[in-house]
Amino acid sequence: MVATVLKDKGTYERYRKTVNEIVEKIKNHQGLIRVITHYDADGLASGAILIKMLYRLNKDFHLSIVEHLNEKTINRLQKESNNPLYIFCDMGSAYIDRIAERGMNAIILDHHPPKLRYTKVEEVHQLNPHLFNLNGAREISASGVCYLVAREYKFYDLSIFAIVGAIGDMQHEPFIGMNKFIVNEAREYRYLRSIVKDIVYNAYDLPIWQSIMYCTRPYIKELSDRESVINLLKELGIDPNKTYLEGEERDKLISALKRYVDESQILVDRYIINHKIEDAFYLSEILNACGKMGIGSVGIGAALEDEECIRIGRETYIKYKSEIIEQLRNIETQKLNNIEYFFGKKGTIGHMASLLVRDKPVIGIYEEEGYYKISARGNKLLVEKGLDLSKAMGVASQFGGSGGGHNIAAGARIPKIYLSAFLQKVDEIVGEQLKKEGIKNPIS
Amino acid sequence: MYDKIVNAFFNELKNDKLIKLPESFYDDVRRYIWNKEYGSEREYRRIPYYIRELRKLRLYKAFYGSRENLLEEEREILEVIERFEDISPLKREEEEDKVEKSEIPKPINTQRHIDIVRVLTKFPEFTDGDRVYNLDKNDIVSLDRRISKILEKYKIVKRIKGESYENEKKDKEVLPLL
Repeated sequence: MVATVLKDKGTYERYRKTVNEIVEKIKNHQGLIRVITHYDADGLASGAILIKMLYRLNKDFHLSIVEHLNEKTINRLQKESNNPLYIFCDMGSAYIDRIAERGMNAIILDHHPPKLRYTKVEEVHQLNPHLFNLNGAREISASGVCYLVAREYKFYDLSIFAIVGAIGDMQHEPFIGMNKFIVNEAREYRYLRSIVKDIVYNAYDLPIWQSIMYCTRPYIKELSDRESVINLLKELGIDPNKTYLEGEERDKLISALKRYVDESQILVDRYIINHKIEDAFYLSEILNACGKMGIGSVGIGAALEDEECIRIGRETYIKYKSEIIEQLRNIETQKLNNIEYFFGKKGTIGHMASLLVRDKPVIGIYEEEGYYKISARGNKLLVEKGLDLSKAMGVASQFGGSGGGHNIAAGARIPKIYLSAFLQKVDEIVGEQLKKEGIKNPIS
Repeated sequence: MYDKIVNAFFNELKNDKLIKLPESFYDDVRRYIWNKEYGSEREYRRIPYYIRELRKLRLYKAFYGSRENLLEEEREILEVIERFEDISPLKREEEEDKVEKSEIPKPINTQRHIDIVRVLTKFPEFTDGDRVYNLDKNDIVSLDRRISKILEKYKIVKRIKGESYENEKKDKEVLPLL
């Protein structure tokens, strides 16, 4: 029961009231339901949950995928016809006041820190884990929040997309809190067939040399080209075209890769789901690739098990990873005292920054319409030492921009002329944060 | 005139049969453009699109259905196509009859089929009478099959053929524990 995850009876009662009101609101709405979701794996998994749910409820829907929500998007949506019910997924909590003041009839299903800590403002309902003492960066993702609504209609099969979305948001190492509850529910109803300890490369249905070369979790720079991977596999006596390794071959590969990365990064928990793409991690990678390459609708189509979308999704994964690896090879990071930064391409900087983090947070930057867009990434260890990138990126407001996010991953947008001053300030703030030794911060 | 063109296009889209247009419709449009009577540059740019799509739609309907209300100008185009492809209407009807009689049972009532589609290209606003559609590339939309079929034909949308999303009962079924 959800009650076991929430900390106390009062919280659970507030949760029940909010979910019940949202369920009724959807059920009673007779016209179009306008869904707006984020373009990353979690946003697309959320979209898949809502589409399946609304289709089964016999509702008319129209889903759009956006990179981020802003005033312009809200204004455009408000002007649309049909008097719809709006559902914002993986976004919206930072704009609840703006949505409410426009008189929009809306539901926000988000896991980012909310601007207003209310479950209802005017005609806008908000389901956000932060309002129920849950950690939105660690314990539940947006697709998990969407699933909490879908399960009220007993659509338990949609739990697999909550797992996929949580993996996309890196909340699976290990699953805790509400995520763990969802995993257990998926297992109970047998939509999650099994959890197996396996090498990450077996998750993909690709020749093993491609799985190793394109894998960025972990990213092994020394094995990021075809020749190096094939040579290694031949040395080990492994057929590079095999798509699945087991037994002795698997052990040999693990031993060989230990010289580059920790064993824990190669030997992972694989979540085998009831889906044509059987591995939840692989599906989240496909969703991520489709979203970042501007074809999020194909990603959702793949989640809905459309054969053509699955084929395009697989091809897009390869294309996207080829580009990422090529960019990773060419990245030259600049170092300040406490941070590293680099200039990259739209849609990839956050991901690459997260792949490059070692002992300092990494900041990726790209230019767009007179502004610099910034993605900052840390890791669990840095967060435990006191890193809070949400606060660090928040200083963008002092430079005529805006910023925020989570302590482990955050973003900002600033006018171009202030980049240098902004980076100096962020360096200073991060330095202060990491000085406070002995702090054991949870990821939020 | 611009409104007439836009309305003609959307009415054509909404109706299964050919809508009635004045016999001088295409001549009127040509005159409107030549005399530069359009209200703005935007209208000038949009008119060829609407006319092209309207004509394609009407020819498609006439090719596979009744030719009532087909304009003379359109009839001539259709005849050229059929001569080129060596398909006489009579032969086609015979072929269709054969298929219909032997393979396709006649429906006894109508149902509202809803498709889930992904939008391949931005499409001008239109309505089916109840709802106004604003389709943008990369959107996913639920559409009545009568609309989705036409839009798919013109590569505006692509149907998502998921296998499991229709099986509500099965999806609710509680399976035994592992």
